[in-house]
Amino acid sequence: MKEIIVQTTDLVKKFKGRPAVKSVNLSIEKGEIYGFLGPNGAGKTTTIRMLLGLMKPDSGTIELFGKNVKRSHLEALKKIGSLVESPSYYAHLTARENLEAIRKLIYVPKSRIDEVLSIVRLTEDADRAVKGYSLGMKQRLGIASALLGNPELLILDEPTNGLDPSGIHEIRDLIKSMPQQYGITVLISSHLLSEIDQMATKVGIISKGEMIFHDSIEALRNKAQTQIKLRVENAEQAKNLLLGKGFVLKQGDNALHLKDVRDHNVAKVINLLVQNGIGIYRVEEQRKSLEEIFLGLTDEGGAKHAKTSAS
Amino acid sequence: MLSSLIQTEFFKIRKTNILSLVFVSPILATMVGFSITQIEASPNDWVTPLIFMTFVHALIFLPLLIGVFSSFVCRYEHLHGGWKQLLSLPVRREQVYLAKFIVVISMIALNQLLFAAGWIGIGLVKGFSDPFPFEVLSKVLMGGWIATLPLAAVMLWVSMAWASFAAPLALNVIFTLPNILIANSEKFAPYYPWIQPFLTMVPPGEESWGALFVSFESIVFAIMGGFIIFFMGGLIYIRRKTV
Repeated sequence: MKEIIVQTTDLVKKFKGRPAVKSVNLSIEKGEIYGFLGPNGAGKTTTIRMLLGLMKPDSGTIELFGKNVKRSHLEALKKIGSLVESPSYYAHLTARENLEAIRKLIYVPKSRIDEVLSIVRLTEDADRAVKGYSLGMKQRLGIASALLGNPELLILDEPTNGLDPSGIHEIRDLIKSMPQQYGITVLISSHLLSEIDQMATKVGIISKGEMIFHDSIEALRNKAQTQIKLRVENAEQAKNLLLGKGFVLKQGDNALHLKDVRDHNVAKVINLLVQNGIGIYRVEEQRKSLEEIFLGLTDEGGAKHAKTSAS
Repeated sequence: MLSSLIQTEFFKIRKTNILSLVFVSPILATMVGFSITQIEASPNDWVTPLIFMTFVHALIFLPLLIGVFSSFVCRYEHLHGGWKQLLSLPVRREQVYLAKFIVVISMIALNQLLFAAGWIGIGLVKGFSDPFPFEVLSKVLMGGWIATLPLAAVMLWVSMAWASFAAPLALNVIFTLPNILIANSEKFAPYYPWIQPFLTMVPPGEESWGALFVSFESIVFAIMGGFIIFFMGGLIYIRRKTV
């Protein structure tokens, strides 16, 4: 059994009576990269703020590093580096001074500032006032601030916001290397599944304040079904022919969708169509993307989306 | 931890020109104090300029400056998510508040020192022959400074709560302007926090020269009472503040 770093039990937070987070149960093990996924306004940031003690939950408990933090977050915060929502900075100071303002409070050696600056590639611009920075550079500074204290748990809320594609790639590689290189546990939130998919080992999906999925990324991928899409000359005739021979398929989208995707099965179907003189235009393999699964899970009822994608 | 927080606060304001404001009021007061002619009935040459300087400095400028300083040490936290970064570091919220409070009252202390320097400067330049009233000096400096503590506490509280830089300042102006009227009111003056710096700093009439400038209940109720209430209020506020 691995050490549990973050454990929340039935976390609830209401804003003016409207629940923003309803009974969220998170469980993050040491060394994991936990992808916290959900559309905007689903309660990700609210949950993260409660984890950091920036706001108090209305009910439920939070355990960080195995200790309940109801009384004080102080000990836990010593081991956490965080970036919440948009990056925080003092605009009139340079990047180096911004980091120095934090460093004075967390007691790490001065050399650590140069280290984190080079990790996020801000060394060249380190002595410029942050007010002249682009959003991407501010974001890098935010990540540098989070890394400054050599944290055991890194909480990054939408860390790739505002970064360009190469920046996203760098940060992604950096985050992926965290657990192996430094044994850091990472909680990363995003509204983009593709991003989480490429980094996370475990995924939690939150929608309208409720956790609707909490498992490994593989389990989420397994929800992706493959099928073979056949576009043929006469769909109606082909369908009747194949159904008559006992193949499982659906018609829709001006095409036939074959459930059984094993090679010999596909070969048999095509052979049959050719023998009956039905022209075949396209044979495609279709994978339901994680995006579609995500939408299906977060959609109200989920049924609406399933219907539209099938038709 | 507290000393690191204080250091950080000074580090953050180091590159701003907020400190230059410390000079404004003492310079204006000194100019006024220098230009007036001696009042014949004055018991001591030193008293006349002090009276006029206090009117300029303590009645309006000092209370206004307290608001500016308090609002300023919160401004850079409000602007770009400073609060959430600062409070998600391993710091005690009470100490964050205390550090900011100490920075504000240090700037006011500097302000008072400059004021006193201006006053002494006038006397030296004009060559006052009367003995220098050290007792008055200490009361003007310390008394005036202590009387600003409740104001600093309440303005810091408001500045933490309101994300706007201008709103606490506007509030402060609204409460400072009646000073001119309240200064003359025996009934209200002892209980109105904004007038206390003036009451503690202005030398009263001849008969009580050298005695306490403010009545006992004024110090007890308005200054200490106000300070405790406002300071605790700010402390409780930051403990519960949702960021």
